[in-house]
Amino acid sequence: MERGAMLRIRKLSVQFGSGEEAVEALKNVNLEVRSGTITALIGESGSGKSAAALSVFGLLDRSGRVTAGEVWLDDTDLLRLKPSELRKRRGKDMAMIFQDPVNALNPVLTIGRQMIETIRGHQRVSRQEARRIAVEQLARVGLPEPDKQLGRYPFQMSGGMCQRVMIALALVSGARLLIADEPTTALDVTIQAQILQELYRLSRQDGIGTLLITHDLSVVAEIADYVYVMKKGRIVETGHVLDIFERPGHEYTKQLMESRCLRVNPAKETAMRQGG
Amino acid sequence: MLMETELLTKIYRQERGWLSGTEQVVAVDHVSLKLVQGTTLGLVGESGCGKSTLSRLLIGLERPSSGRIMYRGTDITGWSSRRLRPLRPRIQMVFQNSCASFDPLLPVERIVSEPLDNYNRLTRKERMREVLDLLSLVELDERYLKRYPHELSGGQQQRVGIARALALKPELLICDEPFSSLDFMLRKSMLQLLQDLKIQRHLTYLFVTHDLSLVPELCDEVAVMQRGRVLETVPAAEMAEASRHLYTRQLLEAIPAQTPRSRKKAERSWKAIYENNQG
Repeated sequence: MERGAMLRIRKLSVQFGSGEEAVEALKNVNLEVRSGTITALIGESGSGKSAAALSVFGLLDRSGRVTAGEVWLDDTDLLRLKPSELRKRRGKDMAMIFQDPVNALNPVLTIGRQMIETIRGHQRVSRQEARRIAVEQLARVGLPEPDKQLGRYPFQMSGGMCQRVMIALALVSGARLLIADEPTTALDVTIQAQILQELYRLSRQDGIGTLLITHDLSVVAEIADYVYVMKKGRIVETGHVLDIFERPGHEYTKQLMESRCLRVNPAKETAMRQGG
Repeated sequence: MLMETELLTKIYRQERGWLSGTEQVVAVDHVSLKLVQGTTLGLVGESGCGKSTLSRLLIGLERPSSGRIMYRGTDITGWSSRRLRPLRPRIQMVFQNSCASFDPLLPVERIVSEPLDNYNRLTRKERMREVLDLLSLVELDERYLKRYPHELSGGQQQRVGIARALALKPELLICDEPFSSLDFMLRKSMLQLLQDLKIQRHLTYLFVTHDLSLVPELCDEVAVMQRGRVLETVPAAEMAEASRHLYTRQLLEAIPAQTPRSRKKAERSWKAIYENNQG
């Protein structure tokens, strides 16, 4: 069966500021995320990757506004929803995790309190039932001794554990679309490997559609299925991960692939010295 | 030999609470390292293994509990800050989070020129030329002079941090995860910059990182650290073959794939969807 796209962004343009100082952050962006797959959006810092994610969630700050386009989640155009309707869909249908998991959690509340609050915000369940769901979710993302974790504060956990809590929180109310904005940039390589494994498992086993925003090409090489390459607010190339890595078409994608090879050039300096 | 540590140890004492006394945390445990001039030593390990404490000891921001630090054969352990002052320009540091090491009320121009003002007497013109030279090294220009740290992106902040560290023409540059906030294009050009300076100025680096993929390109030797101890020091080019510790292997194992075809876990297959797509 052909799996349809759950998220479809059509001709989206976003502008920051107004009048002469206006900056076009996104220009005519088309993008799709299918369930059960990981779609990577890659580009340099400042290329508009995060603006794309935030506009899906209606979280652009006040100076930013969508000037054209549509964002379809299943059968709804999110851009036409009222803020209150959109808020209901965040968490229930779509969720987001960020680069810095420690700061994304509330430092003065226990993990349990934050999870139970989130669960009860979306589902009519008793406190006890919410607690049971929380434990189940923490176990699902691979945290050891989930019932004990509920009593802990974010600062008592490592960055990797906090990111797992964030993923659990994001998916606790049944979201099937996960937007992960640089989810492993702040983490150690060993922890990064575990989190990537977790994101991969969620997409394959639970059918979560993931939009992975990153500037780290090795993360893309490790888990992504499809890739969109963004430069200065435009999508310059898109394709299956193998095609993008092995047969990049656009000049910019080729540059990216070359930058992946970190070999620096020792000859350059000797030439310069001799010249000077 | 530029710098050397002998059985360097740093113990933090943590108050546990009234009556319950103190708890000891051994952050750096009998570490002996050698930094040879003109070479790069990588220091790798997970967060909390003591990498940052070790670099702070070397730069003189912390005092060791025991052991010795030698600089060009002179024992500088426990020197007063007045005695250390002439040495400070020679050992500089690039911090992981440069922004936190800037005065938020100073513009870029002042951040970069402050070390110059502290150690050299320069006319206004000379200073300005120096600052612009430093900024151009890190691919920034005069447009950034008047900006404040919060007006810069993470990558720009990091580059200003590198420019500041280079201002006094150090011999030893300690880089604590300097690239973790840079995107791949910038990362590559900053790596090239460090490599060029190494040859041009015969610079020595201590490169603290958890990203082992950078190690073979940049380092001559790597010291692997775990729980405050240096497990082993191996040549960077043959890390996989030369390492004797399981932990080093685990670190190597965790490096993500460089291409989709070399994915670490076979089950992370790209095939199913690819073939589905083609057909």
